[in-house]
Amino acid sequence: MIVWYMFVVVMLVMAGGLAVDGGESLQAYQQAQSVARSAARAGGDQLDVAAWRAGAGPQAISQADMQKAACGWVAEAIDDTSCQVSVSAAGTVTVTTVTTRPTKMMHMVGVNSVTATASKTVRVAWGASKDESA
Amino acid sequence: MTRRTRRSRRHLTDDDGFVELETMFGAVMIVSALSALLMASVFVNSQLAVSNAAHAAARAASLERSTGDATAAAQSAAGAALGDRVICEGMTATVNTGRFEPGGVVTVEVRCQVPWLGAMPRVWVPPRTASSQASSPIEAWKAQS
Repeated sequence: MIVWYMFVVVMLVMAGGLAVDGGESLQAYQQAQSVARSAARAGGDQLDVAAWRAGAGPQAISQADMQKAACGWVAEAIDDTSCQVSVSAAGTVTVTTVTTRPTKMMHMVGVNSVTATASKTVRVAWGASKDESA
Repeated sequence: MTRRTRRSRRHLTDDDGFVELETMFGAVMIVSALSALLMASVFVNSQLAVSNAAHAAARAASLERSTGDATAAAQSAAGAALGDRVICEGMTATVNTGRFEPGGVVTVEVRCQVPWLGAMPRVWVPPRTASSQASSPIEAWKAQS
C-alpha cells in the first residue's frame, strides 16, 4: 500500500513539475514573441528618410543599422536569447528570437532547460508600424 | 458472541493498526501533493496573465503622445488584459516614462497578489506576488501632440 501511495505522490510531483516548467516554457515563448515584436519595430525605425523620399523603398532601411537596433533591443530586454533579423523586398522586417530558460523542477529528471522560438514581422509604413502576424 | 463478530476477529491481524496509519499517511501525502499541484497551476496561470498584461500595457503606452495619456493607457490595458479571468488581486501597473520620446522606450511593470486557493485561510499559505515587466519602443517618426 505504501509503495502505491509513494508512486501516486511521485506522479503528482512530476505533474507539478510539468505545470511549473510548462508555464515557464509558455512564459518564455510569450516573452520571446513580445521582444521579437518590439525589436522588429525598433529595427523598422532605422529608416533613412531622405532615401525613402527619393524612392529607395525597403532599401532605405540600412540592414546593418536595423540589425544593430533590433538585436540591441533583444539583448537589453531578455537574457540568453539569440536574435536574427531580415528585411524583405516588400519592406517588412522580421525578427526571430530563440530564448532558453533553466527549468525549476524538471531538471530532476534530466530536462535542464526549455527553449522558445518566436518570429514577428512588421511592415514599415508612413504614419504607423503595423504588426502583420497574427 | 455472534457469528459475525467471530468472523471479524478471525480476520484481525497484527498489521491492522499499521494499515490504518498507512492509509492516513498516504491520504495526507496525496492531498498535500494535489494541493501543491493546484497552487502551482493557479500561480503559473496568473503569472502568464500578468506577463501578457505587462506586454499589452507597454504597447498601449507606446502608442500615446504624452506621458499622462501613456500612463492612463497602460493602466487601462493592463486591467483589460487581466480582466476577471484569473485569480489576481490588487493589480498595479507602474509606468516608467523616463525615456518617453520619439525613438525612446516605455516600460511597464504589472504586479498583483495571487491568493492561492482563494478559500484557503491566508495564514496557512500567504498570497504570492506575480509580477512582470515589459518594454515597448516608441516610434522615432511619430507625430508629437
